[in-house]
Amino acid sequence: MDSPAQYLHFGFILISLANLVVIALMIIVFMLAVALRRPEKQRLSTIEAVPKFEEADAREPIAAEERS
Amino acid sequence: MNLTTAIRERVRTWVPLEDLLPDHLPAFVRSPAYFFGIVTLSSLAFLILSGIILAAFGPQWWHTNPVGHFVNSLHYWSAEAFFFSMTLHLWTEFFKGAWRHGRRLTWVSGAIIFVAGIGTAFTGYLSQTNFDAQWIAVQGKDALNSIGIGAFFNQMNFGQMYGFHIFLLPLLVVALVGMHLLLVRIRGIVRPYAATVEEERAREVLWKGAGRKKTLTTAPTARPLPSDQVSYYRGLRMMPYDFIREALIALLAVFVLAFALAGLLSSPDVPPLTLQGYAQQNPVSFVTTAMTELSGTSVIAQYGPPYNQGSGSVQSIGPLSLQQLAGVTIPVNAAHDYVLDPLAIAAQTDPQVAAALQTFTRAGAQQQAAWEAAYTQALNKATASNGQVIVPRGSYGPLPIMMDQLLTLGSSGALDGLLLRSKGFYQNDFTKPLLFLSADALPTKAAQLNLLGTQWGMMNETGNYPGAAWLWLYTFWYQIPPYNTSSSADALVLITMGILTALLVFFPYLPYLNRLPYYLGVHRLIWREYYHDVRAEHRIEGASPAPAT
Repeated sequence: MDSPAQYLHFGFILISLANLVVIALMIIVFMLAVALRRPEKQRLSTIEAVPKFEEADAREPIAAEERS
Repeated sequence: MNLTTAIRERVRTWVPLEDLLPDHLPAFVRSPAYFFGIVTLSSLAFLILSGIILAAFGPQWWHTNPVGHFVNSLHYWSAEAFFFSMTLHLWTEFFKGAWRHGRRLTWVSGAIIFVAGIGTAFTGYLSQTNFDAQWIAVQGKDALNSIGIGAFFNQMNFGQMYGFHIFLLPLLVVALVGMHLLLVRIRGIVRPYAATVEEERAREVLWKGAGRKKTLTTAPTARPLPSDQVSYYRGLRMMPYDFIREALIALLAVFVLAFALAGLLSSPDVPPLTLQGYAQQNPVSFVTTAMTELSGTSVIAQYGPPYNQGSGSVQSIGPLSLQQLAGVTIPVNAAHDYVLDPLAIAAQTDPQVAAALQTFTRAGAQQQAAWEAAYTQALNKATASNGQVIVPRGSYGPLPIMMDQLLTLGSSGALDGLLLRSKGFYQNDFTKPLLFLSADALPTKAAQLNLLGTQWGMMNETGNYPGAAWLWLYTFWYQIPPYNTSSSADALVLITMGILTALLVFFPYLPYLNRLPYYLGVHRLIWREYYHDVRAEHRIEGASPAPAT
């Protein structure tokens, strides 16, 4: 790794091979993250299943605006 | 009024534990696009841990000790992982429009962390005490000097940069990360975009205060507080989520990756240049540089603020020069600091040097200039022999004796110490020796390593290692007009980047433009199951006008 770096020229663009690999990896990882899903099967439920502690919690989202 | 009770209840209201450590999240977070934040956090943890070890053993330890070098390699690869994952986190949050529904401050804090992280990395490069640190210091000084910051933030002052790197900036980053995490947990995770822009705008109005907790008058105190996220997430499918488990997995992943890369690839460390090495290996260049300092024709002698009253490197934006405004705060008198003062010390024990120095200083300015011009011209035909510079015969006055002695001081290593002289016992300001080396020695070596500004050097690293690829836009401007032809290129680039950075930080506040992610459509891929479910529900509901998204 301490040997002279390899550089690539594209017109006025000059980039080291190592930096190009990092940028390519970022794009690949991003695309994979968008394309893939976590493998485990999730137990899905709706928010209505979450215990309610107060009657106030059952308010519709509009209540948030009223409070603000 | 009991202040303790008031504060405790306010904290309980704003940050209930079920929000801080959630065990259920909406099912749309199944995408790995939600994983980059925790990976960034894990990388930061390793950065801090390896940084603490490096700081504990001092800045020279890693150059001489194999264990130290390995810890430095961990630090280096953790930094790469930090920026890698933080950039991906920024991309994904952008495409999700994560600032919606009352989360603009969350985006702002995250973007500021990115900027503060770059600042921390920059001071880290400057604290390496190797060639890379030397080159970045002399190369970067022009940029900060051009907007006046260099007058107070001296990149060639190792002590100052080290303090910033190991304490001040990490403290800022950690504080910002804490604030960012708190905002994420208080506000919850933003819901997917609605089907239409109009519907999304209606939601923005509806939920702009989402996440704000109930007032004390309505909040129960005898049992766990309900979260506003319950209201915000209502109607969404939820899935079990283990925050601690996910954090541990991310920590383990970064740990394995950093150890593997540090063990296999190590980290870059090109030794620093010294005045001694410069004088020994290239005596003609050394003397030529010294002559430009003595005659006042060097870049540094004519530089201007913060070093002197010259104007050779003064930059401005229109009529405004922040560099001039900041004034001379790091005085450098090139002729005295680099030639006359060191020779005055040598003259105390060498009568021949004392006589030569006396002859030179007592001569008129015109005579001095004539000697300097003749000797400088003769240096074009100079040769080096046994560590001495041989020039053709000519009328140079006392200059050959003076330069011979300066070369001796340089070759012996004495000049390295003399240029560090300050009023105190401890020395950590390398401004003067670095400025001397910046004339020829440093740029010559930097060009061999593709580190010049014209070589996109800001994002490059010595050897075959990846560098600061995330600075591509910063270094890009130096390659195109009008930046690469302007005498105020640094100031123009900094202003441009300042504006672009402000746009990034305050992007959520930019009307119309902040809807860009919706039109780009990447969110449809990230949340495709969610939209599939919504469409299915819509079909089941039949004539129902709008799905409950």
